[in-house]
Amino acid sequence: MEEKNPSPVEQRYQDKKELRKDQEDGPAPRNIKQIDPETLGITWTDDKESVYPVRMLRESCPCAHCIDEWTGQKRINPGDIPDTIRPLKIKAVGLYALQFDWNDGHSTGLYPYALLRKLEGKEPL
Amino acid sequence: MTEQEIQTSVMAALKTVMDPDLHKNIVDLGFIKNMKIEGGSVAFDVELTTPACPVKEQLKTECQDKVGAIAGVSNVSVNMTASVRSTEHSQPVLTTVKNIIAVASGKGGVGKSTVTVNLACALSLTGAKVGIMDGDIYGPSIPKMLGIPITPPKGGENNKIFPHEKYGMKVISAGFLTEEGQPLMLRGPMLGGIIQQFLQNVEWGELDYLVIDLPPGTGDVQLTLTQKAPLSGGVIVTTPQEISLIDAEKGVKMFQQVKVPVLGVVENMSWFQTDESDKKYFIFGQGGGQKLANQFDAPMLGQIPIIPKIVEAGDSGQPITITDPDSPAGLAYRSLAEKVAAQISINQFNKEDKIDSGFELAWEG
Repeated sequence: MEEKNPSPVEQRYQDKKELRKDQEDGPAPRNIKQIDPETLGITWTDDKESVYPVRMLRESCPCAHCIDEWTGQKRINPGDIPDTIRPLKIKAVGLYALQFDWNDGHSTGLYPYALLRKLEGKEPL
Repeated sequence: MTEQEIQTSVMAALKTVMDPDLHKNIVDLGFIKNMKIEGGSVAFDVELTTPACPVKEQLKTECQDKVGAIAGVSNVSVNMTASVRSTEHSQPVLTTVKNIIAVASGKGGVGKSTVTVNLACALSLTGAKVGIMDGDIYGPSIPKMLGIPITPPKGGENNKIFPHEKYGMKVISAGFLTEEGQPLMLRGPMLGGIIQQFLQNVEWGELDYLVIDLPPGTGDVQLTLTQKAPLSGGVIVTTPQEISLIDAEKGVKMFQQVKVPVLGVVENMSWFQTDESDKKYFIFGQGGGQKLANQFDAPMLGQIPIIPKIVEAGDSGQPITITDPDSPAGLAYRSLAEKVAAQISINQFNKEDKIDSGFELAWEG
């Protein structure tokens, strides 16, 4: 019998489950720095070095405005976020996540460390 | 031997005294202070990282014996002191508080508040400066358990609030913010607001340990605290029964997901015991707390019996750890305090090099 494709809600459930698992025992940033005006760099406690285009990070905002909480459907489409997007400030949330104040006025997304690890290597839309 | 030679031998001898929790000798740990040698008399302080050190007496005896055995030493005087270290952070709240302990459980009714109060009392008994924050906004029970009358806290300039004081501890609770017996009816965002007030505006003064009694569950208060307060670690309270473990497990996972170190598990209501006999009745089953600790590779911090005296003590506002510190329950709580304090010290020494909760980066260009 053919395996049925998971529904968006099922897929969302799976994704969240994996993220939670990674968050529980995953690494944390040891150092966070600006590499150039468009790139963020993170060195992790497991020595891995990651680089992130900031536009990709803005496009990947996990907040409920940017992703449908129920279906996981993205509400940001290619081209929605301009090349001029920059963070103004990046700050830690407790011991588990980063929050970005963006120059488009958005700031509601919390990026848990496991999500940042997952976004490693991802390119802007 | 010259005094210089004696000093060299004394330091060499003390280098063989190991702290069993931190796995280093007490010289390299920087515990030895104020060494004085006059003729054959040797005197020094051993400055521990917490007055609640579980091996204080053992370390003192070992120092005395080892130094006393050195040729030329006729008299040894070891003075045990403590200077509690801070959990480092750069967040602009609670800057005068060295360590913050959150007491949580997934489930209500497992005795979180009783454990919080008695843990705080036991830490305070060792000489540490202790505060209690009652984070249970809807059902504050700390004032009653400590016998503090419901009166509004005194205010100061810049919206400062002065905590109540009882048994040498500073106490803040939402119970003080309304008339006795009146419910606080608030929606979630207001809850977060009160917790923010507790974090920002309370004049705690210098504290070694602030113990926070969390409400049951994994909601607004827990999230606000894990995001805004530089927690040193969390303690999970459970009863031995399976149904309590389901929710306690969620409490542990909550701490793991927000990366707050789990200091360990406390099993409350472990058994019932009468005053007349040592026989233990395991009315809620056995081994639940240990099972939870094993599952998460977390320390098992202690088992607290269920005895009528604990309940009476709580209802009369006189915690059993204060009124009867040598009773089985009092001893259990004092041992719990030692283990919690030791675990915090251990975590501070093994701290990973990573960004702290006050990290901020301003983007340029």
